[in-house]
Amino acid sequence: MQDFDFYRAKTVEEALEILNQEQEKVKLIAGGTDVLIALRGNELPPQVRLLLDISGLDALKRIELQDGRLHIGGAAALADIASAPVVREQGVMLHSAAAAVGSQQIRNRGTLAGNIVTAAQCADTVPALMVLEADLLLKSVSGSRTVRITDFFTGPKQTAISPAELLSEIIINPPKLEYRGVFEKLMRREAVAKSRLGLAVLARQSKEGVIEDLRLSIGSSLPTHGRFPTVEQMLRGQRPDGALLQAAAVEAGEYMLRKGGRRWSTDYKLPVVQNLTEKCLRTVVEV
Amino acid sequence: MVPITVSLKVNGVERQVQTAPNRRLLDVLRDDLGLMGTKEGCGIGECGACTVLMNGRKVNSCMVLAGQAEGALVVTIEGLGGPDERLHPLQRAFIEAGAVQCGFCTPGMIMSAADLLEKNPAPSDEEIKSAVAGNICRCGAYAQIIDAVKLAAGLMKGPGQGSKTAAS
Repeated sequence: MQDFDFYRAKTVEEALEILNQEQEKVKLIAGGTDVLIALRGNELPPQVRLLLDISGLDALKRIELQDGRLHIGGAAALADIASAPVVREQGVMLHSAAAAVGSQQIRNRGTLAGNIVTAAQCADTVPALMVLEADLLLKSVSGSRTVRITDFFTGPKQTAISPAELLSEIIINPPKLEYRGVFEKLMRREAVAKSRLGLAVLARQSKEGVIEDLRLSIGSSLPTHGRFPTVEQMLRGQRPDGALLQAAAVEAGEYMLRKGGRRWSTDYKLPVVQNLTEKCLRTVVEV
Repeated sequence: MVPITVSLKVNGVERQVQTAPNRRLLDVLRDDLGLMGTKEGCGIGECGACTVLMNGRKVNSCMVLAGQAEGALVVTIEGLGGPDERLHPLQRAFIEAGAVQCGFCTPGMIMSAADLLEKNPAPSDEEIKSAVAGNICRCGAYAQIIDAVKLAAGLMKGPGQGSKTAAS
């Protein structure tokens, strides 16, 4: 275990003050399910002197609708998100993505915000948030700013958050009723395992069957979390048939290769990405 | 490292512990409070051997820093039964159903099952499997574990046999 000092923040304002003063010397901890593993492996950056615990801040635990948008606090546990009726009703696939993380024990501690800021490629909830186009409310002593999650990941394990900022809320515009969404996680066993791939698709079709909007994100497939713009463009404005969905799924695999190159896992991942994409497209798009 | 003082209630008893900030709830329970029932398996939140109830929810105590347990109500396997070392129905059922082989996963498994029965007094096989998905039994005694949880659910239906998992 690495050495550090520990402080349990009493208010959000106090946490922001400490972050502002200490910057890179502070590591925030909420659920701790990633941080404890890093500590054990001596993997925290060497400049970190203080673990600042925000898990006791009830002000960061809200899960509620406000002005038609779903607000999820930066310290809200995944278990509470997975079981909140308002998430089930409004957030389309976010409840199933949150329920897919780890075990009940992990979900009781781990947070949605932590899943985002850790920026692991296998983060279960990120693909769903990517297609929902969630807004991230970042707070610091000098105020707050909002970053769209599609702009948040700047590179492998890198994000747009600054050392003085805290991810205070995840804010989601609930998709309108015409949208259909699906989240699918592929893993080595049915529980606890890290995801090998996590797909989220959100689609809207007109009454005539034309795809008006389609959004696809696949976790653990690209070097940096992102959407699949070429696949989305192929499908938008089209009245799909089975061949088009199949071609779009093939393009999903090819886009992955163009972005990340061939890797040791490609022989496995390429056909699986293509098959899973086609399966998910067929789930949400009517041909 | 500046030592920290943590006040928490474990199995209904107020405790105060001075500890290094990089120690975990698991270390406090075992080393400082002598509650050796809680086991460390993987140490990375995957095996569930260190499962305890914290503020009424099951957690991996290897994934909680000591300081994060400030003010918490913690129940370990030692606090599950009644006074005078009377066994909890789950403990009796695990013995009766032969759900214990090497026994290392048993305390965590029972705490996980206790959390389930608290919320769902008559779970199906599937609900039991899902509830203990975060607890690994390397001996593979899962069939007997499911039998034991069902047996315990039956025992707890009887008058005056309510569980004590909400000890405070």
